[in-house]
Amino acid sequence: MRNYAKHKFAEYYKMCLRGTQIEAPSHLKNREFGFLAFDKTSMFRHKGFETEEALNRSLSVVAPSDAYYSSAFYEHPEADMSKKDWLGADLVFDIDADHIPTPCGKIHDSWACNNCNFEGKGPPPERCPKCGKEKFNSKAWMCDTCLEFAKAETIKLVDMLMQDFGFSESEIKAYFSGNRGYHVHVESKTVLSLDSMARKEIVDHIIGLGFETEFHKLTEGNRVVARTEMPSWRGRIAKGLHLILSRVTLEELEAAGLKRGKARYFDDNRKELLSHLSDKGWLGIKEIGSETWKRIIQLIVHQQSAKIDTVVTTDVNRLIRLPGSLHGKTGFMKVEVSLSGFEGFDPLKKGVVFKEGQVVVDIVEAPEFRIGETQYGPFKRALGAELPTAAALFLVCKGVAQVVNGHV
Amino acid sequence: MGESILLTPVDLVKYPFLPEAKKYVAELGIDLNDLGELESIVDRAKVRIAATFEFLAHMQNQAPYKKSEVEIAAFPVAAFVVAGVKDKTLAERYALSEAKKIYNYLLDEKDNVILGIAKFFEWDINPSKQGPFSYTLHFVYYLRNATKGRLVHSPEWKLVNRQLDKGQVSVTKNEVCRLLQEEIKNYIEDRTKEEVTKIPQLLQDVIEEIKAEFLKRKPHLSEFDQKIQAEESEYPPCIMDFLDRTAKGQHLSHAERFTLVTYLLHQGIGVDRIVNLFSNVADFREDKTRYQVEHLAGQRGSRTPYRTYNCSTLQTHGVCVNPNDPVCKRIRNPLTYHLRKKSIKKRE
Repeated sequence: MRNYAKHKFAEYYKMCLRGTQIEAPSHLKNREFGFLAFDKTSMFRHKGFETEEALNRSLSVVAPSDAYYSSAFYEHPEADMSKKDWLGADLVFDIDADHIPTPCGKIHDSWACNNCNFEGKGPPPERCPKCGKEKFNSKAWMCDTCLEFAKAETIKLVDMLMQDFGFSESEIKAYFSGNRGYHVHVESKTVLSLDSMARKEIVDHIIGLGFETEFHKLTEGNRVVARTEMPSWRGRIAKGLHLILSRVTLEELEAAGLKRGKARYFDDNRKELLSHLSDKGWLGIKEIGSETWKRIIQLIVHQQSAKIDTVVTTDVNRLIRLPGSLHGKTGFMKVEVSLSGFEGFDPLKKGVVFKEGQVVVDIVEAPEFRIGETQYGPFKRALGAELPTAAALFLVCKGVAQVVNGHV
Repeated sequence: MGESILLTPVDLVKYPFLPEAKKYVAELGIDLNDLGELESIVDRAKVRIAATFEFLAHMQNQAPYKKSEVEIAAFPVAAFVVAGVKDKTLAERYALSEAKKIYNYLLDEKDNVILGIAKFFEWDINPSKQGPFSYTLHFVYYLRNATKGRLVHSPEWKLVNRQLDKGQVSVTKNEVCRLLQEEIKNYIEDRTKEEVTKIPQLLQDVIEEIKAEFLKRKPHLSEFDQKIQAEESEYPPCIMDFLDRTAKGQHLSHAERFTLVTYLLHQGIGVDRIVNLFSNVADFREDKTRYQVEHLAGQRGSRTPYRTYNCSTLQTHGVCVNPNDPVCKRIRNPLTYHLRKKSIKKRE
């Protein structure tokens, strides 16, 4: 049933070849490419291209379900891994709703037991409640809520890259991945030679792993000296403290390990604490001992860190999705987001490629979803439903719909 | 490399790896083939190398040779000899011992020498007065060295625990010296791994002598060569968990599979047995799994067996099962769990 998807993907890449070609990554000749074909389970790797046109031509011939290029530069990009001669790699980040606990997962994600077909919502359980087996077929969907969560994490990440790491706007490119998240590519001469260990330290900084309060001089005696305008984690802790005082719930404080009494004190004295902080310049608060402080600070670190996929950034030979290519699980395009326009960016509008035509599909089942301005579904055994091309392609790519013959 | 600094011969004795030292030696008009005549240089070179293992111990505490040209020329000769021995462990130990010596000299230096040497390595570094910090250093040069040697294991060197503003890390003078030590160690190590050709006879004899003496002592020097394999009951909690989940046919992430397979390979478990472990996993394909396991074992591709991730890497990827395990708190790599556990038991 994926024939329709392949057909539409080929149409898109042919259109690119004839019109506005998909932009080749920088240092094209030193990059490795990998294409995943619709009808094959394995990836064609170790491809190299000399020109943008050759890349676009290949895409239009293969019409891959997913197209990737290496964040690394190689002397011989087409050679086997051990003979490629690594020259350096861009710094890349992946933020995916899969790595962020979102409230909407329970609504649109589902699983089915491979053994007895028993079904459920949310992430799969450890054992099937019906037959006790442990293998599942799980489906993850996307919606405005999880995409907003991913966007919020990406904005935090970009802020750290600029404020902490000092990258300029021109060195950072952000993209909607085409599915459930965002990619951020940093192309800067300075980072090329960083090895995996150094990248791991960058990751740990961003996710706040290994943060230890005593190295940050947050307090002097009983006085909190961290201020919101301070750089890096010190400033972030100060900001986070304001946020915690104004927003965090009693339950969250207790979940962070605060004793009930302390959490209550916090909860009951928010206003006083806040005005205390803004009027008297962070004067120390007797009721909160150093252990409680530490717990609160760890909670802040957790909230202020950006939830990136750690494996992607530390891998110096990673293949990443090619900007401008289509995502095989959705039919959406990996599309650039300008850093200044991030807040108002709508991935479910900007990622849409096919804007014309209607297609008749038989839909097995699908939760509610949105494309552009239109809300669709939920569907359950909807035969002969007529949908705009992008919506039909989305359901076909998700594997829950089939185009009715003669209606393409 | 970066700009040069004005250095006296006394400075070059301390920092003989700098290009000025090379120039100085060159201007003396001696080349390696003539060095056979200059026994004192060769002797000083031998002492330099011997400092890395317990050889010629009676000569270790000698002050630098009174003639600075002899001392300076001894450095390239020593590097040449170490390169001639072609032993990775010796090269590493030699580079470390030279770099440690230089670290101690650096601690007493003024800004201009420290900055000069940092600029030789093209560091983006600037003096700055901010509390205890004397310099700001771009994070790339900071990380290049703070992730090496022992520094990688201490929390105060972690980037997340540093003041990082617009790419610049605040560092004290001592810290800059310590980071330079790593940079210099790396630089010297690279020099001692270069291919050497046209070896003069006298140096050939020295190479043979050093090689023989070093190999005699080598087994006592490297703890990682200890081949005491773990019984299954002694595996660390992460490996136990991964094994358990694999047996149940559950999905393991890439980092988990990598850790499990490399760990088992290091414990001497055969490829066949490891491949079999995965047979319960959904979409198991024997050929694919075998290919991957053989790759990690170094039987394919790069031909080097992969080392198991360090515990800190497992924590970064969120797959460490129990960072609070009393034994885990005292190890850096899952491979040493059983050794540490045994040594703790012995003491109790």
